[in-house]
Amino acid sequence: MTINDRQVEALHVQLAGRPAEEHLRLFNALDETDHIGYAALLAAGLFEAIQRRFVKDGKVADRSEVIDFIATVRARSESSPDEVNPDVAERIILHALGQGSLSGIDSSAITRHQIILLAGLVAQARYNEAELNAFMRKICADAEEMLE
Amino acid sequence: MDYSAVEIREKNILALRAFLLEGPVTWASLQSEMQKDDETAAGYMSLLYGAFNVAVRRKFAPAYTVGDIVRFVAELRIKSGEEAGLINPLVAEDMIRRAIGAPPLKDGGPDDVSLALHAEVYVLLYLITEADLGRAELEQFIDEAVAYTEEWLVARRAEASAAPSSGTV
Repeated sequence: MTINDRQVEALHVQLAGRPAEEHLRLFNALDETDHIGYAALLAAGLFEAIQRRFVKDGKVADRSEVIDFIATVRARSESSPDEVNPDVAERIILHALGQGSLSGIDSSAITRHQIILLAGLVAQARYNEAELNAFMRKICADAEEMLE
Repeated sequence: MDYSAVEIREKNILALRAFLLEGPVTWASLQSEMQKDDETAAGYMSLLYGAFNVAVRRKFAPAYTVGDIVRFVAELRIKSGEEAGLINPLVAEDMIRRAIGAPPLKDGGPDDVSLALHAEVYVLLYLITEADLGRAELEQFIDEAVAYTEEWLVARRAEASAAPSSGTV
Protein backbone atom coordinates (compact mmCIF):
# COMPACT_ATOMS: atom_id res chain seq x y z
CA MET A 1 0.00 0.00 0.00
CA THR A 2 1.29 3.47 -0.83
CA ILE A 3 0.78 6.73 0.97
CA ASN A 4 -1.14 9.18 -1.21
CA ASP A 5 -0.83 12.95 -1.62
CA ARG A 6 -4.06 13.68 0.27
CA GLN A 7 -2.76 11.95 3.39
CA VAL A 8 0.61 13.68 3.16
CA GLU A 9 -0.93 17.11 2.58
CA ALA A 10 -3.34 16.73 5.51
CA LEU A 11 -0.46 16.07 7.89
CA HIS A 12 1.90 18.52 6.20
CA VAL A 13 -0.35 21.55 6.70
CA GLN A 14 -0.67 20.76 10.38
CA LEU A 15 3.07 20.33 10.91
CA ALA A 16 3.78 23.48 8.93
CA GLY A 17 1.76 25.38 11.54
CA ARG A 18 -0.91 26.47 9.09
CA PRO A 19 -4.40 27.32 10.44
CA ALA A 20 -6.17 24.43 12.16
CA GLU A 21 -9.19 24.92 9.86
CA GLU A 22 -7.02 24.11 6.85
CA HIS A 23 -5.82 20.88 8.44
CA LEU A 24 -9.36 19.94 9.47
CA ARG A 25 -10.71 20.60 5.94
CA LEU A 26 -8.07 18.31 4.42
CA PHE A 27 -8.40 15.71 7.19
CA ASN A 28 -12.18 15.61 6.84
CA ALA A 29 -11.81 15.16 3.09
CA LEU A 30 -9.96 11.89 3.66
CA ASP A 31 -12.17 8.90 3.02
CA GLU A 32 -12.20 5.61 4.91
CA THR A 33 -9.56 4.09 2.67
CA ASP A 34 -7.21 6.91 3.62
CA HIS A 35 -7.37 6.28 7.35
CA ILE A 36 -4.94 3.36 7.46
CA GLY A 37 -2.39 5.29 5.44
CA TYR A 38 -2.85 8.44 7.49
CA ALA A 39 -2.46 6.47 10.75
CA ALA A 40 0.74 4.88 9.40
CA LEU A 41 2.06 8.30 8.37
CA LEU A 42 1.30 9.67 11.82
CA ALA A 43 2.98 6.73 13.58
CA ALA A 44 6.03 6.93 11.33
CA GLY A 45 6.23 10.69 11.82
CA LEU A 46 6.06 10.47 15.57
CA PHE A 47 8.62 7.67 15.72
CA GLU A 48 11.05 9.64 13.55
CA ALA A 49 10.49 12.87 15.49
CA ILE A 50 11.04 11.09 18.81
CA GLN A 51 14.28 9.51 17.56
CA ARG A 52 15.56 12.88 16.34
CA ARG A 53 14.67 14.64 19.59
CA PHE A 54 15.57 12.02 22.19
CA VAL A 55 18.39 9.95 20.66
CA LYS A 56 21.73 11.70 20.19
CA ASP A 57 24.74 9.79 18.84
CA GLY A 58 23.03 6.52 19.69
CA LYS A 59 22.45 7.56 23.31
CA VAL A 60 18.84 7.59 24.46
CA ALA A 61 17.80 10.55 26.60
CA ASP A 62 16.85 9.81 30.17
CA ARG A 63 13.34 10.07 31.51
CA SER A 64 13.85 13.58 32.87
CA GLU A 65 14.15 14.94 29.31
CA VAL A 66 10.87 13.28 28.40
CA ILE A 67 9.17 14.73 31.51
CA ASP A 68 10.57 18.17 30.65
CA PHE A 69 9.37 18.03 27.03
CA ILE A 70 5.85 16.96 28.00
CA ALA A 71 5.71 19.74 30.62
CA THR A 72 6.66 22.25 27.92
CA VAL A 73 3.83 21.01 25.68
CA ARG A 74 1.34 21.05 28.58
CA ALA A 75 2.37 24.48 29.88
CA ARG A 76 1.68 26.24 26.57
CA SER A 77 -1.86 27.41 27.33
CA GLU A 78 -4.60 27.34 29.96
CA SER A 79 -6.28 24.38 28.23
CA SER A 80 -3.14 22.38 27.40
CA PRO A 81 -2.88 20.61 30.78
CA ASP A 82 -6.31 19.10 30.14
CA GLU A 83 -5.56 18.15 26.54
CA VAL A 84 -2.43 16.12 27.23
CA ASN A 85 -2.33 13.40 29.86
CA PRO A 86 1.31 13.37 30.99
CA ASP A 87 1.25 9.69 31.88
CA VAL A 88 -0.05 8.71 28.41
CA ALA A 89 2.25 11.14 26.60
CA GLU A 90 5.37 10.07 28.49
CA ARG A 91 4.59 6.40 27.97
CA ILE A 92 4.15 6.89 24.20
CA ILE A 93 7.57 8.53 23.96
CA LEU A 94 9.29 6.03 26.25
CA HIS A 95 7.72 3.16 24.28
CA ALA A 96 9.15 4.58 21.04
CA LEU A 97 12.52 4.67 22.82
CA GLY A 98 12.20 0.98 23.65
CA GLN A 99 11.09 1.40 27.26
CA GLY A 100 7.83 0.25 28.86
CA SER A 101 4.56 -0.58 27.14
CA LEU A 102 1.31 1.05 26.09
CA SER A 103 -0.92 -1.59 27.63
CA GLY A 104 -4.05 -0.23 29.25
CA ILE A 105 -4.16 2.94 27.13
CA ASP A 106 -7.11 3.04 24.71
CA SER A 107 -6.37 3.49 21.03
CA SER A 108 -8.26 6.77 20.66
CA ALA A 109 -6.17 8.32 23.46
CA ILE A 110 -3.01 7.10 21.74
CA THR A 111 -4.03 8.61 18.40
CA ARG A 112 -5.03 11.93 20.00
CA HIS A 113 -1.70 12.15 21.83
CA GLN A 114 0.28 11.09 18.75
CA ILE A 115 -1.04 14.10 16.84
CA ILE A 116 -0.30 16.56 19.67
CA LEU A 117 3.15 15.13 20.35
CA LEU A 118 4.17 15.08 16.70
CA ALA A 119 3.03 18.69 16.26
CA GLY A 120 4.93 19.66 19.43
CA LEU A 121 8.15 17.90 18.41
CA VAL A 122 8.11 19.34 14.90
CA ALA A 123 7.35 22.83 16.22
CA GLN A 124 10.33 22.59 18.61
CA ALA A 125 12.59 21.37 15.80
CA ARG A 126 11.86 24.65 13.91
CA TYR A 127 12.30 23.09 10.45
CA ASN A 128 12.48 25.40 7.50
CA GLU A 129 10.40 24.52 4.44
CA ALA A 130 13.09 22.33 2.86
CA GLU A 131 13.72 20.49 6.14
CA LEU A 132 10.02 19.89 6.70
CA ASN A 133 9.66 18.59 3.14
CA ALA A 134 12.60 16.23 3.72
CA PHE A 135 11.02 15.08 7.00
CA MET A 136 7.73 14.40 5.19
CA ARG A 137 9.51 12.39 2.46
CA LYS A 138 11.32 10.33 5.09
CA ILE A 139 8.18 9.48 7.10
CA CYS A 140 6.27 8.81 3.88
CA ALA A 141 8.84 6.16 2.94
CA ASP A 142 8.81 4.74 6.48
CA ALA A 143 5.01 4.58 6.51
CA GLU A 144 4.95 2.76 3.17
CA GLU A 145 7.46 0.28 4.55
CA MET A 146 5.24 -0.23 7.61
CA LEU A 147 2.29 -1.00 5.33
CA GLU A 148 4.11 -3.55 3.16
CA MET B 1 -15.07 10.07 60.56
CA ASP B 2 -16.13 12.07 63.62
CA TYR B 3 -14.43 15.43 63.08
CA SER B 4 -15.70 16.69 66.44
CA ALA B 5 -13.24 14.23 68.01
CA VAL B 6 -10.28 15.40 65.91
CA GLU B 7 -8.04 17.97 67.55
CA ILE B 8 -4.60 19.29 66.76
CA ARG B 9 -2.52 18.49 69.84
CA GLU B 10 1.09 19.12 70.81
CA LYS B 11 2.12 15.62 69.70
CA ASN B 12 0.74 16.34 66.18
CA ILE B 13 2.72 19.57 65.99
CA LEU B 14 5.89 17.83 67.19
CA ALA B 15 5.37 15.17 64.52
CA LEU B 16 4.91 17.80 61.79
CA ARG B 17 8.06 19.64 62.87
CA ALA B 18 10.07 16.40 62.81
CA PHE B 19 8.58 15.54 59.42
CA LEU B 20 9.54 18.92 57.94
CA LEU B 21 13.05 18.76 59.35
CA GLU B 22 13.91 15.11 58.79
CA GLY B 23 11.38 13.69 56.34
CA PRO B 24 8.82 10.87 56.33
CA VAL B 25 11.16 8.46 58.15
CA THR B 26 10.25 10.25 61.39
CA TRP B 27 6.66 9.00 61.06
CA ALA B 28 7.63 5.33 61.09
CA SER B 29 7.32 5.21 64.88
CA LEU B 30 3.80 6.70 64.66
CA GLN B 31 2.38 3.78 62.67
CA SER B 32 0.89 1.93 65.62
CA GLU B 33 -0.61 5.07 67.15
CA MET B 34 -2.14 6.13 63.83
CA GLN B 35 -3.81 2.74 63.56
CA LYS B 36 -5.53 3.28 66.93
CA ASP B 37 -8.59 4.90 65.33
CA ASP B 38 -9.52 7.23 62.45
CA GLU B 39 -9.70 10.30 64.65
CA THR B 40 -6.16 9.80 66.02
CA ALA B 41 -4.78 9.34 62.51
CA ALA B 42 -6.74 12.38 61.32
CA GLY B 43 -4.95 14.58 63.86
CA TYR B 44 -1.68 13.87 62.08
CA MET B 45 -2.98 13.66 58.53
CA SER B 46 -5.12 16.79 58.65
CA LEU B 47 -2.16 18.82 59.98
CA LEU B 48 -0.02 17.45 57.15
CA TYR B 49 -2.77 18.48 54.73
CA GLY B 50 -2.87 21.93 56.34
CA ALA B 51 0.90 22.28 55.96
CA PHE B 52 0.61 21.27 52.28
CA ASN B 53 -2.04 23.93 51.68
CA VAL B 54 -0.08 26.68 53.42
CA ALA B 55 3.11 25.78 51.54
CA VAL B 56 1.33 25.66 48.17
CA ARG B 57 -0.45 28.96 48.77
CA ARG B 58 2.82 30.62 49.74
CA LYS B 59 4.38 29.37 46.51
CA PHE B 60 1.60 30.08 44.01
CA ALA B 61 -0.91 32.58 45.45
CA PRO B 62 -1.94 35.13 44.42
CA ALA B 63 -0.24 35.17 41.00
CA TYR B 64 0.24 31.97 39.02
CA THR B 65 -0.56 30.37 35.68
CA VAL B 66 -1.57 26.76 35.19
CA GLY B 67 1.68 26.48 33.23
CA ASP B 68 3.57 27.39 36.43
CA ILE B 69 1.91 24.44 38.17
CA VAL B 70 2.72 22.06 35.30
CA ARG B 71 6.36 23.16 35.27
CA PHE B 72 6.63 22.94 39.06
CA VAL B 73 5.37 19.34 39.18
CA ALA B 74 7.64 18.39 36.27
CA GLU B 75 10.66 19.89 38.07
CA LEU B 76 9.69 18.06 41.24
CA ARG B 77 9.50 14.76 39.34
CA ILE B 78 12.80 15.39 37.54
CA LYS B 79 14.59 16.18 40.82
CA SER B 80 13.02 13.11 42.46
CA GLY B 81 14.99 10.89 40.06
CA GLU B 82 14.11 7.23 40.48
CA GLU B 83 11.22 8.16 42.79
CA ALA B 84 9.49 10.19 40.05
CA GLY B 85 7.23 7.22 39.37
CA LEU B 86 5.70 7.63 42.82
CA ILE B 87 4.40 11.10 41.94
CA ASN B 88 1.39 11.07 39.62
CA PRO B 89 1.54 14.43 37.82
CA LEU B 90 -2.23 14.80 37.37
CA VAL B 91 -2.89 14.02 41.03
CA ALA B 92 -0.19 16.46 42.18
CA GLU B 93 -1.32 19.24 39.82
CA ASP B 94 -4.96 18.80 40.78
CA MET B 95 -4.17 18.95 44.51
CA ILE B 96 -2.17 22.15 43.99
CA ARG B 97 -4.97 23.68 41.91
CA ARG B 98 -7.51 22.91 44.61
CA ALA B 99 -5.25 24.33 47.33
CA ILE B 100 -5.10 27.72 45.59
CA GLY B 101 -8.71 27.74 44.39
CA ALA B 102 -7.84 27.24 40.70
CA PRO B 103 -10.27 25.33 38.47
CA PRO B 104 -9.56 21.61 38.94
CA LEU B 105 -8.28 19.52 36.04
CA LYS B 106 -10.95 17.75 33.95
CA ASP B 107 -9.06 14.56 34.71
CA GLY B 108 -7.42 14.80 38.11
CA GLY B 109 -5.79 11.38 37.75
CA PRO B 110 -6.63 8.11 39.48
CA ASP B 111 -8.71 8.30 42.66
CA ASP B 112 -6.14 6.62 44.88
CA VAL B 113 -5.34 7.51 48.49
CA SER B 114 -1.70 6.44 48.30
CA LEU B 115 -1.11 8.54 45.16
CA ALA B 116 -2.66 11.56 46.90
CA LEU B 117 -0.47 11.00 49.97
CA HIS B 118 2.68 10.64 47.87
CA ALA B 119 1.85 13.85 45.98
CA GLU B 120 1.16 15.69 49.22
CA VAL B 121 4.39 14.55 50.90
CA TYR B 122 6.69 15.14 47.91
CA VAL B 123 5.23 18.56 47.10
CA LEU B 124 5.33 19.69 50.74
CA LEU B 125 8.92 18.57 51.37
CA TYR B 126 10.11 20.02 48.06
CA LEU B 127 8.53 23.39 48.86
CA ILE B 128 9.99 23.41 52.37
CA THR B 129 13.46 22.59 51.04
CA GLU B 130 13.11 25.23 48.33
CA ALA B 131 11.98 27.88 50.85
CA ASP B 132 15.10 27.19 52.99
CA LEU B 133 13.37 28.43 56.14
CA GLY B 134 15.32 29.52 59.19
CA ARG B 135 14.31 28.26 62.62
CA ALA B 136 11.94 31.18 63.35
CA GLU B 137 10.48 31.03 59.83
CA LEU B 138 9.83 27.31 60.22
CA GLU B 139 8.00 27.95 63.50
CA GLN B 140 5.93 30.63 61.78
CA PHE B 141 5.12 28.21 58.99
CA ILE B 142 4.03 25.56 61.51
CA ASP B 143 1.85 28.13 63.34
CA GLU B 144 0.17 28.99 60.02
CA ALA B 145 -0.33 25.29 59.24
CA VAL B 146 -1.96 24.71 62.64
CA ALA B 147 -4.23 27.73 62.20
CA TYR B 148 -5.20 26.64 58.69
CA THR B 149 -5.91 23.09 59.84
CA GLU B 150 -8.04 24.21 62.77
CA GLU B 151 -10.14 26.35 60.41
CA TRP B 152 -10.39 23.41 58.03
CA LEU B 153 -11.57 21.14 60.86
CA VAL B 154 -14.19 23.72 61.92
CA ALA B 155 -15.51 23.65 58.34
CA ARG B 156 -15.63 19.82 58.34
CA ARG B 157 -17.53 19.81 61.65
CA ALA B 158 -19.99 22.36 60.26
CA GLU B 159 -20.53 20.19 57.18
CA ALA B 160 -21.09 17.15 59.37
CA SER B 161 -23.66 18.91 61.56
CA ALA B 162 -25.48 20.27 58.47
CA ALA B 163 -25.80 16.71 57.11
CA PRO B 164 -26.26 14.54 60.23
CA SER B 165 -27.17 11.40 58.28
CA SER B 166 -23.75 11.36 56.64
CA GLY B 167 -21.88 12.85 59.57
CA THR B 168 -20.38 9.56 60.72
CA VAL B 169 -18.59 7.27 58.30
